[in-house]
Amino acid sequence: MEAQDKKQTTGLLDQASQAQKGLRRLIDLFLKGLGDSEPAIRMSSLIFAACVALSLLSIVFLGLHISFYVLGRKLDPFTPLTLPPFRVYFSVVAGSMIMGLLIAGYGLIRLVPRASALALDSEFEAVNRLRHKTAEDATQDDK
Amino acid sequence: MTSKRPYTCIAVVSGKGGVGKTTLAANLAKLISSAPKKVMLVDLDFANRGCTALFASDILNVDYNAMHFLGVTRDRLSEDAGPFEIVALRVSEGIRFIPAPIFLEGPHDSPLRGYSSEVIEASLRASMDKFHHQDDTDCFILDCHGGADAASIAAATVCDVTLVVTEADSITFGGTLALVDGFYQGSGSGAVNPCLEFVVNRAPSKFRWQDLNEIYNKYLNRFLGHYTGSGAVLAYIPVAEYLAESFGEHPFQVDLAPSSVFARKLELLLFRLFNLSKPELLSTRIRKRCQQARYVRRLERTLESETHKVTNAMLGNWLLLSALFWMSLLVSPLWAAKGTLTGADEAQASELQMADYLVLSPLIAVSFLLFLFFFYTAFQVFFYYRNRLKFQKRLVGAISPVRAKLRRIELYKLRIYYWTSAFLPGLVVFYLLLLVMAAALSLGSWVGSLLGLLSLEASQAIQG
Repeated sequence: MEAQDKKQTTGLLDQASQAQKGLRRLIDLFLKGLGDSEPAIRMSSLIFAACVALSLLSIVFLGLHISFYVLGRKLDPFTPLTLPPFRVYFSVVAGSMIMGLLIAGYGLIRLVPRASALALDSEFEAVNRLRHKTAEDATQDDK
Repeated sequence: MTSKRPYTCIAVVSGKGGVGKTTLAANLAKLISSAPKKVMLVDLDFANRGCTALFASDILNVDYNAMHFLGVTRDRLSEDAGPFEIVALRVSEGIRFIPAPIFLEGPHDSPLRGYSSEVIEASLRASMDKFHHQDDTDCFILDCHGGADAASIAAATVCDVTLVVTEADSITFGGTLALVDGFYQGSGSGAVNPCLEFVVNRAPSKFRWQDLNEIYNKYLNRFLGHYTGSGAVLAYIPVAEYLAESFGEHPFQVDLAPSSVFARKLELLLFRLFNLSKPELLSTRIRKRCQQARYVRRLERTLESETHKVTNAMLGNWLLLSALFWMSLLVSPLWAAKGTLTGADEAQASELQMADYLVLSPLIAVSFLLFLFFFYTAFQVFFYYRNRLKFQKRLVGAISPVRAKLRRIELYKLRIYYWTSAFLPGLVVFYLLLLVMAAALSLGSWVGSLLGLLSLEASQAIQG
């Protein structure tokens, strides 16, 4: 039983670390994109980051709304509710999340190929360095 | 790229094997032969003999091969292309083929070992002149070995243009650099100046054209100072998954799928090569298509394979449908429970109806756009399967009956896919027809009633 529990825990930890790695890679992608030489890439990463921030902010607002509502009711159930209706929060949250996801999707469509291209570029550079090194070695051998 | 010779010569080379030289060479020959021009394809890859294997059924009884073409006998290589009468095999309308020798003793390059590229070059030139006089050939395409061997260096030196086929990865890039170095060293320290043009074959869909082009431009400008050529990659050809199914079974994919991205990219490649120097090698179709700037701009940037595009479209549709389903499940109870959540009275509720519309109208607009996207992708899928089915039918019709029997199963499977993919576009067309009919009927009835009214008024006027 204990062994099974341990196995499960390890599995969960593995999954968590995988998710963490994925997230880190995504953040790396953004940061690289923000410093890219191409203005379009910089702009799309900026929009991507803004939308992620907006979505997170909306979730925080939703949490605040729910807690204020519950607290307000608990403190004085007879006071008329002055908070905006739930639907307003809901539409803001849903709207910003959808927009965030759409633009983030666009950003990813633009950023992922760029990351592949940058990787290819660095591989080419490595091949080139190796070529120069081989050529230099050959020249030294000739001498 | 311009030459004083009355014929054109293209060498297809690469830094490493397996990049698709043979496929490109055979298909380029097919496109040029459709101009119509007489083309001769020569297999100079003595190690792999890819082109020879491609036309295997035709070459079993042929004694004449590329060794004779080069003037190589067991122990000599002469500059007058040997005593042989050149006998090339006719493999298709306007295409003649000279195979590589099938049986070789020892290592693959042994027949040419000991000969410098200059000697092979002179022999190659003499052979081509001779064959041009004999058969009035307009274009020679030399399919070379992957790597810088003596025959490749000689071919690159003799030819008007040398197509260097490469792939977008570091291994092939290393091979390409080695090849370019080999040309430089092999051709007497830059004494010969081959015209090198680059083609990136089987470009993976993970790259965008802009990025790849930027990288290749940077490296080509850096490394190719010694050579002439446009200095840019002439074509980026995406992976062609379903065309690759016919590899080894049929040599000419441009014939089987003339509207595929692969075929159109090759047309663009030929156009860029010969539009200015030798436009007579281009068929009217190629000239007509490639003179449209918008078409060329769009085509040159296409890096996504057709299969990848359709898989993405289907996945996108599936995600869209599931998202709509889950959102409807989520939204409907929330919407129903809004009164209890906000505690709104009747007056507030009527006020809120306006807000409902404000929220709903963009939602409706977005869902309309999503449905448009949905049907657009449905049409994309339909056209993809239609092209694939056409390709498979042509392939089954062109290959031997034994192979065709095996292919037939694939054909039935594709028919099922085709009719399944036709369902949604069919529905759209059906509804559009209904709409048109309804509009015509209402228009007809409106015109009819108008006419009736007019005639009534006229009769009343007459009576009055």
